[in-house]
Amino acid sequence: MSNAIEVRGLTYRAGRSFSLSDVSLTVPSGSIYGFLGPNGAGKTTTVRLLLGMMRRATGEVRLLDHAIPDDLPAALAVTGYVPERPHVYPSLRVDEALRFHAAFHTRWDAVWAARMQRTFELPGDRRVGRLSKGEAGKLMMLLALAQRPELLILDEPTDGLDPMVRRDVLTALLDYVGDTGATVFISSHLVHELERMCDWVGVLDHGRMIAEMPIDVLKGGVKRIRLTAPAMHGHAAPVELLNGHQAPFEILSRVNDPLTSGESWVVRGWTDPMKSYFDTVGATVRDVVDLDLEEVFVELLRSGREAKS
Amino acid sequence: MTRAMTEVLRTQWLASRWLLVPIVLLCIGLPQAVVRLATRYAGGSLDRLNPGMTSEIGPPLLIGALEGLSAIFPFLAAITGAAIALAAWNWDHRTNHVYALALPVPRSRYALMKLWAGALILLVPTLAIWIGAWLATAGVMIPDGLRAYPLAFTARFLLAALLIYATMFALAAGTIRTTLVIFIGSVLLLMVMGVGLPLLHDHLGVDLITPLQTAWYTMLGWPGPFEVFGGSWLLIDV
Repeated sequence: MSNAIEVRGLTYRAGRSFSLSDVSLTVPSGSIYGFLGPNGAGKTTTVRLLLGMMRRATGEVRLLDHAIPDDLPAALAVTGYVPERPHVYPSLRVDEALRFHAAFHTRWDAVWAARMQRTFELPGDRRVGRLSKGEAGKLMMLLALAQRPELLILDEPTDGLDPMVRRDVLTALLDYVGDTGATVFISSHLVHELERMCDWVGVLDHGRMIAEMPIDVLKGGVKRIRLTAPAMHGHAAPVELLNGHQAPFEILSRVNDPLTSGESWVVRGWTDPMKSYFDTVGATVRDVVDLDLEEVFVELLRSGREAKS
Repeated sequence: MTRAMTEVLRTQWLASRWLLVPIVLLCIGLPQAVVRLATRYAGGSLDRLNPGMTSEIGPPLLIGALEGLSAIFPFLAAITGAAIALAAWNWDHRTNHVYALALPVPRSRYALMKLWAGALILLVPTLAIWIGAWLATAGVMIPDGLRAYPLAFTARFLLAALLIYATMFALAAGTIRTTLVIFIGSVLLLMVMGVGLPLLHDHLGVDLITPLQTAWYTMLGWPGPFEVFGGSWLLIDV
């Protein structure tokens, strides 16, 4: 099995205002896959469709080689899920919630769960509905990890948590992944958080996948390039000179820089030998700057929306 | 019983236990109240604890009084069944069913586990009504020619409550919106039928009342599904 999650041509429509259109994504086994997108992009809907909680219009979903929804119970038996909001019955006490969850998961590790309950300082006699946001976040992660899953699907697991709790939750997650080699599919809009832990990234915007690749490729291939127009052309910007040529990279954005008579470009698929492209048209590459994931994310969204409009 | 079933039963018990308190009290108290009120309406007293105060009551009088007052028991059974059914799904509705949908069991099996758990919980008010019926009939000196039927009465209560429980369980399994749409739709349909059918009959000569009445009586009579409600709910009978 080379892929933990395979989605092909997933389509879903909710009224006139929202739809997922032809979403395809592949999560390699053993990877940590960051599923990025702005609020309202359709991340939670995609997660729920992956878990068979909603009925798709078209498309195909496979989790750990199990077809969804035909083989859903077998898939859920080896998949840990942390939802956007706590989903455990709020009237149960923490100990009761753990016991209930354990009864449905044959791989439940009671010893590990008890240890994590102590580490997370979760009071066993407190009702789930009365836990603080941080405690509820820890409980959700504990429930998902103690069932010893091969795949973890996490929907904004640290959203709204303070830095201490976020660190505790992510440490528990990464320890587990380090020990077991489980696959993680983590949906979030906290780009910096994902940048530190993910090795694959998929970006969803307005219900469409606009990028999916290893994070190194994504970050390494997207650069900000500052160009200066050649002197003989006076104030003309380099972009004007390049209109007739086929660029070997994708231009995500172009901004005029009036002070230098040049432009600042964000390009995808950049490699250093491509500087020669500018030599052929007489423009000068002043510098090439790496972008962090958040900048890449913003540029991808911007270019995706411009292309759509 | 599997661990999962035990946990479903436990959570459903936690979800419905406070609702059961008034129901259990009614189940114990109402049979006694009905029998005592019936003897009073019949113009006598059959109190076994005060034999000196007892007076003769004719069986037809007592049965007549019981028949009037026993109409409350089908309602008690219906309320009991409906309450336990709604409590069964209450916690799932509060979490938009997300937790249940993420559990690694087929949904039909999960729903069946909940159905069974509710049916088992229904045994609590059933036990209460049996105790109430037994206390009510044991506490009076039954006139010659009449007999007490606490067990048959309890069995009828259980069947009626189960019937309503199963119906409401199926209705409440959907979203709250679906349940409300079905409920309000049914009420509106009954209102339209109540007003519209006599109008149709009077002005157009179309008689839909008779077939509907026939259907209604078929539902309530043998072998209709709601026959258990239409039969005798008397604790003391010939």
